[in-house]
Parts: sequence; structure tokens; C-alpha cells
Amino acid sequence: MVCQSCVLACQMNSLGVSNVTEIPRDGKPIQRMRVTWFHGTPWTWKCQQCVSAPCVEACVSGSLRHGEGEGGVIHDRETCAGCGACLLACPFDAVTPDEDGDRVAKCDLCPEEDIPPCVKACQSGALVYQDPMLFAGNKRKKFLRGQKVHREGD
Amino acid sequence: MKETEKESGKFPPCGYGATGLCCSSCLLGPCRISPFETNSAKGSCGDDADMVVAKNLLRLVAREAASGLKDLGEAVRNLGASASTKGTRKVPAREVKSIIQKYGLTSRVSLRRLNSYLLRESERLLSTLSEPGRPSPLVSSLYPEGAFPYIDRDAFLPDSLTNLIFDAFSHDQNESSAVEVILWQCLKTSVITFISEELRQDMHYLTHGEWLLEIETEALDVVDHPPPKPLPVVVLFSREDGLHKGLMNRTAQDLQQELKGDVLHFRIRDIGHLPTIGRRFFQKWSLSVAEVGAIVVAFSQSTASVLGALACGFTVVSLPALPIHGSDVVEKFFCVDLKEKLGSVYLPPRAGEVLPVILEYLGRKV
Repeated sequence: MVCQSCVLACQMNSLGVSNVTEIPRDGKPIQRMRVTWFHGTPWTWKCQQCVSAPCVEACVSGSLRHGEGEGGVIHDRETCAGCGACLLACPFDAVTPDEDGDRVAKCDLCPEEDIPPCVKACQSGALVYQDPMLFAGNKRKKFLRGQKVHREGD
Repeated sequence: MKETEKESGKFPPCGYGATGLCCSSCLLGPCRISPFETNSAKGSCGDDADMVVAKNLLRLVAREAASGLKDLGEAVRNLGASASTKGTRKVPAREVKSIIQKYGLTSRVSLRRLNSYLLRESERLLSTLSEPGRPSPLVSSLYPEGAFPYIDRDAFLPDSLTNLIFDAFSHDQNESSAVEVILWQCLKTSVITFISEELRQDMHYLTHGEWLLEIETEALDVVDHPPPKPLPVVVLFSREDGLHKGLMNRTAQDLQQELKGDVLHFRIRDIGHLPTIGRRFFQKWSLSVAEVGAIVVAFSQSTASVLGALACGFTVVSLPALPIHGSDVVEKFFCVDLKEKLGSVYLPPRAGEVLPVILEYLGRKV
């Protein structure tokens, strides 16, 4: 099952709506993420905020750039030319044409929010908002603990 | 009841559930239709967004109504056992008289005859073999035509509550049911919870000599001694141990400040008291609840309570909102069309707030 709660939360945020009773009937949300089945596993197609980002390299108008500190990859919709070079460059298929098709849209981690709405909406814990190095470190530790138990069991 | 993290607002509720667009009625699901999809989006069974929202609502209401019927059955059995063995407990004559009057019996009826009348008619209401088309006299006396004119007109009053529940489940399974038919079925089914609750309360009193949940003194004062000229009425409802109780108290204080005495408002803990309130206002003002312009503010997860109040003619605003906003058709039915048919409408909260909605409905500045 793909619950899609993150996608709906992202769409509502793109329309500036926080409550389901206020969803505009003719609203056309920007698609900044999507979830599909990929080789039998639910897969979130969203920007991975690459440290060495091919989309930034490909952007001819300079509207895609690295954020300061750990701000991920920022997209400035005002300066976007809509050339689509980033769409071709992104290995994760995370950049999409926007609702009018004349610019592109991608996840920018919602800098105006403390926690991105998609992460808040995710009830299964599949989406987390954390320092990637810390997250990777914890995952490594967990893996090693598992290995140790396995060896002791042998 | 412990407030969960979702209810306390730490986590947002599931958007699909809150819009009524998540359907898990079969093993192929759950199917989720995006509120931003075009009209062609369908679940795996072929139901579109309107049908998914309507059927979800019907399932929620039918579940609550079935649980209410179970409680009523238990109350009937207890009263029967008590009446057939040692007799019912001694109950004050004044209260017995008021129950006798409520059910339209003559004041000379004895307690024993009242018990046997309630038992006989309740068993008929719970039976699946009742004579169709003949509404129960019990229910007709609880919903007099003057106080609840629309209930009679739309034949909401059933001969058998159990059959009405079966009807609800059969509509859920029937592929050819139209959305509007299902929505009327929701309203009819929700009335079951009110009927069972009120009957259960009376039978519990006659069995044990004490009320299960007495109507609040504050509410009783207002409905027994209303001003001579009718005023708009705001009824705040939340169960004693219910969710959003703090929010209800804050709303009551805000109402007090904003309305400054020219609106009657009070709180109740049991939604089963609403028909009593409707009957009392009719006795005093000769106006139905819809004509009084009574609003129920329900701080409750109970869908049957919200729809039951609507069916009785009360305009309702609820928190959390009814899960109807995933369908234009369903939303229009409850928020617009009902006004003409039942004299009541559903008012969705605005940005999680109920006060601005109440003030706007009463024609006050927000």
C-alpha cells in the first residue's frame, strides 16, 4: 500500500492550505514529489538534495543553486527559464514541469516551515528530516549492532 | 479517553481520511483518491470520489448506530428482568409522570403498565419482523411533528431500528445506489443513535432509579425557563471524557464575551438530550428547532451525532470537520441543499476554528 499522505500534504502546502476544509476546488498544486511502486517497493520520487547536484550544473539560468550550510538545493521559480535541462540531468527523476508547464518544480524542503509538511504527514516514519550524516551514522551503528548479535549467536 | 498525538495536533490527521477519500472496504484497498484528481479518478471497485465519500460516511454512521442498538437491547433486557422478578426500583412519581407524558400515555397509567408498554414497543423496534410502514408509537412521541416537522415528512421514523441498520449496510453493498440515496440513508441511520440513546436513558432510570447521564442543570435552566421571546440557541456538545473539552470551554467563554446575552447558549454532555431540548423549545415557543435557528457545536468524533442533529433540524458546526470535503456533491448536499429540505445545514469549521463560523451564521461581525 502507498499511503500518499506526504504527497497530499505537499500539494496542500504548495497551495498555501493547511486544512482539508479549505482545499480549493479548482486548485492546481505543484508536483514536488510523488510516490509509486518501484520494483515492488514504495518509492518516493523527490529531490535527494545532492551534495554534488547534476541539476545545478545543468541549470543555464542559475535558478538552481546550493543553499547555504546544509540548505539542500534551492530552486528560484522567478528566474527559472523552463528550459528543462535539469529534468534531463536529474538521476532521480525528481524535477517535474510545474502546473503551467513553462517552469519546473522540485522539493526545496519548505524552508518556511520548521519541519517539511510531508515529513509531518508521514505516519510510518519512512520520511525523516535530519542531518544526513547523523542519519547515516545512526543507521551504520544499528547495522553493526545487528552484526554483533549475529556473531554472538554463531 | 486519552488524547492521542494526532488529536492534540502534534501530527496532522491523514488528509485522505479527513476528506473521506480513503476507502478500505475491500481487500484490494485501501484506495485513495486525490482531492486534486479529475472526476474520472476511481477506486479499484469502480466507485468515484463522490461515492467513496458517501459510503464512508454511511459506514461510520451505521457502525455507531449498531453499537447504540446493542446498548438499547441490553437496557430492554435489564428492564424486562427487573420488571418480571422483584419489580423495578422505587422511582419518584414526578419523574415517572414526566416519562409517561413524554410517551403520550394518559397520566393514570401505572408504573407497571408503563414498563410493559416500553418493553413491548422496544422489542418491536428491535425486531427484524416488525410490520413495515407503521412507525413505532414510541418514536412518534419522541419526535412530535410540531417540534420536528421535517423528520415526519421525510419518513425518518422507522418501524424497526434493526431493519434500518440492515438497510444501511445493504446500501453500502449495493452497486446501483445513487449518492443522494446513500446520503439520505446516512441521515436516517443517524437518528437511530438518538432514539436508542433516549430510550436507553429512560429504561435505565426505570430499572435503577437513577439517570445514566442527567441533563446539565445549566441546560435545564435554559430550556425550562427561556425568555418569552424566542432567541437564537447555541448548544455546545462534548462528552465529559471527550476530546477537545478544553476547546469547548474556551469557545463557551468566547461566546459569552462576543454575544453578550442576546443568544441562549449552554453545554450538554450527551447528544441524546437534543430531542428533549427540541421538544421543550416547541412547548415554550411553538417553534421547531429549525425555526428557532438552533446551532449545535459538536466537539466530537461521532459522525452519527453530527448527522443526527442535522436530521433533527439543528444547524451543526463540528470539530473535527465531517469527512465530506473530498466530494463537491456530498459537501453541497450537507452545506447547501439540506437547508431547503430539513431547515438545517452543516457549517464546516474555518482553519480549525468554530467561533467565526458561529458568529457569521448568527449575523455578527467576525
